[in-house]
Amino acid sequence: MKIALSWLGDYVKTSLSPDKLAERLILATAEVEEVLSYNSDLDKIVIGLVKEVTNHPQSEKLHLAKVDIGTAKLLNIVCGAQNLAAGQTVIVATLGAKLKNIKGENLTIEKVKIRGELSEGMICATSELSLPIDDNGGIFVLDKSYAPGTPAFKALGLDSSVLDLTITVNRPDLLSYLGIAREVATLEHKPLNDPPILSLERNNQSLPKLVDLELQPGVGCERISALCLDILKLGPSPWWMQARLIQSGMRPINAVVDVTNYVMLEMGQPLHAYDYNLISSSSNHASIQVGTAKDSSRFTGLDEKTRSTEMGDLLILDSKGNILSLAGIMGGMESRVSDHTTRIVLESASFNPHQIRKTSRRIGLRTESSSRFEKGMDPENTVPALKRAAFLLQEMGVAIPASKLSDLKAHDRADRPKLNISINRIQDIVGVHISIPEAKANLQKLGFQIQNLTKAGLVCIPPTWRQDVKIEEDVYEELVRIWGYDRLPLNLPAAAVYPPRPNPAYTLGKSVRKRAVVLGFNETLHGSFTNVNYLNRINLDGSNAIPLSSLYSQDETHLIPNHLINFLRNIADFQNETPTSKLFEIGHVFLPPNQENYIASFVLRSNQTPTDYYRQGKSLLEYWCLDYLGNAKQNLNYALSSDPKPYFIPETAFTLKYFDHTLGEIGLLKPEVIQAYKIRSGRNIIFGELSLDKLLEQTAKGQIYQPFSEFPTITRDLTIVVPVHLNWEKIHKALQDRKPEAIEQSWSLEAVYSGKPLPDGQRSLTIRTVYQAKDRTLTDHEVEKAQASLESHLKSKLDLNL
Amino acid sequence: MESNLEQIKTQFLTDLKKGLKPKDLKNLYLSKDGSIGELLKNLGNLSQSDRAIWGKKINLLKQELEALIEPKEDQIKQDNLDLDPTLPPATLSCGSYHPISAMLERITNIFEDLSFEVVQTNELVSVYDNFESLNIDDNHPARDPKDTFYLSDNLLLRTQTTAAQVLEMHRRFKAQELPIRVVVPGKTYRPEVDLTHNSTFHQIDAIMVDNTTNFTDLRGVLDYFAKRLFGNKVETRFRVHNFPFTEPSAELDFRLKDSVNGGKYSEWLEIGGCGMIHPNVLKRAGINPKIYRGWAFGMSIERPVMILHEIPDIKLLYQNRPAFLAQFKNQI
Repeated sequence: MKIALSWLGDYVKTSLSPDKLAERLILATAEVEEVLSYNSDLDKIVIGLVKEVTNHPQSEKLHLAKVDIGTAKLLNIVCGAQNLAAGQTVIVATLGAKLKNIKGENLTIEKVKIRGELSEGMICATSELSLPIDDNGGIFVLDKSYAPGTPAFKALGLDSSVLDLTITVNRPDLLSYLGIAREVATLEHKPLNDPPILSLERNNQSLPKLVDLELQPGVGCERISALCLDILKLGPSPWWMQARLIQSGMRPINAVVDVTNYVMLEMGQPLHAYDYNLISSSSNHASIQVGTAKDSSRFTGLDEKTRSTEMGDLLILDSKGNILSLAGIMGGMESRVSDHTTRIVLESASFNPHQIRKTSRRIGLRTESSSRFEKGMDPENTVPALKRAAFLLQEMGVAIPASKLSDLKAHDRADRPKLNISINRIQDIVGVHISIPEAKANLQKLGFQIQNLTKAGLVCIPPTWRQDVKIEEDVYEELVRIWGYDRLPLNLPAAAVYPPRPNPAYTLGKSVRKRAVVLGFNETLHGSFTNVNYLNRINLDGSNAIPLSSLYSQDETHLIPNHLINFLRNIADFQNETPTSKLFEIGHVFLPPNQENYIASFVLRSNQTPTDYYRQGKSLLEYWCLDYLGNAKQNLNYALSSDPKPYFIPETAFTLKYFDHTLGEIGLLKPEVIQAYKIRSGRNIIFGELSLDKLLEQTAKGQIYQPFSEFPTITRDLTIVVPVHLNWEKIHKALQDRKPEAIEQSWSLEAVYSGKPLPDGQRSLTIRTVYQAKDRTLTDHEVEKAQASLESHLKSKLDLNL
Repeated sequence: MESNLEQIKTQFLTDLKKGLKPKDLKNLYLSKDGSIGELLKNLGNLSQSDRAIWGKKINLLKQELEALIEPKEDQIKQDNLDLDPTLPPATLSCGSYHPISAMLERITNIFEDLSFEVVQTNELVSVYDNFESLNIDDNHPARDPKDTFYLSDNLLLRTQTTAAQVLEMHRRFKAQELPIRVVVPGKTYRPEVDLTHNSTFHQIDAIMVDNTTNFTDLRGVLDYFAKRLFGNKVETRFRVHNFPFTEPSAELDFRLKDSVNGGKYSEWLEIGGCGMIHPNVLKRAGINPKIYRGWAFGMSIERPVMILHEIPDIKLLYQNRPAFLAQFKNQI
């Protein structure tokens, strides 16, 4: 909503600067997106009087003009416009003026020679001045004379500061000058001046009733009012009105249309004008009916576009059922007001906001009118708006009333609520003291009726244009916003402070995140949507994911059943940027029918043999679990998956179990999956996921101190060379399947190696054993003995040559 | 015996000072025929109990002397090392937090300091939870399938973390856990995509309910919150706004106090929406609005992330490009 402050001054006088006024409104009323102010650069665009026009000696199309711009010397200007003539009052861009040419490019006026003739300025067309006025391709000729040399925008009344406001949906009353003026009057304690209207009841007793109104039963229209006027002279509206419309972002059309738009901006109520003769059945009778579309029909709007109506659309129909307009959105081409119109019908109504919004949204057409109706228009405003329009048309000599006012309400409205306001409740809820006299004064200023005034409170009735005020709390907002949001003290709650109980799921997520980052993984956060195409690429189909109920976009048809689907897209997209990937993600994934799982996942990608990365992945899963479980490593085990996911190479798919609870899974991706994603670089991809839900079901053991020996440890490595096909699992089993020496403290797999100098098909494994005694320093001899026993055990169990 | 040990130690320290080579020191003191070796040989002459006591003492001295010799050996080795200390720092393998997660943790930490409890709830919610319980009636534009991802008539992807509000208030009020102080962080969804909107995004809600809190508490808590998040130099303001589930409502803005025109954060920037919880919403949670009252605050996480890190396009946050992720190595 663009509010020109010079126009606003008709209703309320404020001493605030445009910026200060904007600040007040932002805090208390509505957001001000921009304050547009007159820029002194525009002073270089001035009124000119064309004194003389001669033909350009070198050109048939160009003219030479001598123009008076209030200086001693006349200005020489070369001009190509065909409508240029001596005696015209025009707008001249003088040297240094900046404006936009017809193509919208920036242009600075300079002294130039055009085909040998000096030109010291430019006579402007409306488009060059960014004015929404049709000038038939020529220069803009003013119909009134102004003193030459006057800055043109000032002379034309286009120099007002303008506030561009964004109005919230609950305040349709603010989509008008009067609505904003009421706010300013309340905030600034100034009187509010209503605009003059024509009292139709008194003046029109003798006039016939020309328009019958009808509402189809149950139709979404609360009230409709109409008035006929006879045209006296239909031309452009007076310049002051055009200037106001232009500054509010509207385009002047003709006096009748301009008045309907003017009243809409002024009072908020959209009006529509029909040509009476085009909708009437006879010279003394026309009927306007509000109905809903029963089927689909074609309708051509004022924008000359033809659209299809659909069942349920609100329509304005004539007596024969022809569509006169798409109610509240746009009038029809066939019944529009033209140069031939002799009598008009002005229609003013209040429609069901939801129906207007629905239709407007469906056909993709949002007009000044529909954007007001879809928020709900005050039914009490339909008649005052007609009276105001009648006043303006008569005052301007454009038209005079030709009929009685027709007015039809769907039903009597429910009474406005009576709201009990107590001074104590204001204090309780808002936390500030607002006195009853202050509350009363401000509410009255906003249009509330006040009753039952006591020391402790009052009863108020909100005005009809404030349908958003329904309960006492709504009134408290009114009171505190006028009192001043900027005056609210910065208090802190008077409540006990205690340590918040940690949320297990959130806390686990934090620990999982921190652990992965410490271990060198980068966290990703992807969207939760995918489609069947991507599901197919990881050997899943539509049945493995939850579909959305309607089509939002081709990419977003299903919810993700795992993080892998996003990891692979990420790797495919950026594979050429890094040779390896170490990513993890924490979040919810979704499985049919409507299951929501909290999981942590990782992906590891490299061109190396997958051994190291696979082991790192297993380690990450273990860390994730142990950070939560505590001392429980001995109960965590990996086992070959009995039901491997279809994207894993089955022999590499292992599940992580805690006792016999499956918590997670890890595996190497099938080549076909990698191919499906067109991943060419870093093709060994390991994926793993951990169910955080399942982990949370387990009891955390905490970390309990284990006593340890004070004596030194001795470390020994044993390297064995085994065939590649001999799985660690077997060696592991052999290691466990023995009675270790008492001094053996722990062992671990230190290194795995294949390649030169080992023969093909062989690999070496280095087992590191740590020896330590509780009560003494070990001797080399003891250690060598234990190491020898380990060696011989493995030798016999695995049938090895060491 | 005792004096023997002390004597040996004194002699050793003198020799060490003289600069005797470690090899010679070892020969003189630690070898079989050295001073300590001799003592150990003589242990056999002592009684069983004395032997254990003195054995231990001698061994301790032996270790002490060994330790005094060893570092000398290391130092000699180091002299031969080729260290170029001007080489750049090595790249230690360290991962990165996604800036959205980091921001979420930062925000929950602030609220936890104020005794708020974090709650993590489902992203699939009912129409009642997401809309009806919050006064968003059937005709509200937000309920249009164009603005909400539906899975079925009654199941949808929450469009706001506020969807947890009524259930959470109800649960806690029933258990008489007053005051209710909760923050709900998490993923939210709306079919809207542009420079500042992604169809998957994140929000956080904070709510407080008791029988004394009011609008000025909300004002103060959010000012504290903004200062903790953006630094003590920011100032905040409330400006009027409209939400179906709060009354009175406000929008929270912040800016840097002494930033000059055009400088960083010199213009007011919106952080989130807030207000006193609507009495009908309290009622749905089984809370009597005549006795209790509460306030709620909600914000998107992407917005402060984009402001703080000067990220121009929300797409960068969800693209997870390696070159982008690697930039956020800092700890939370």
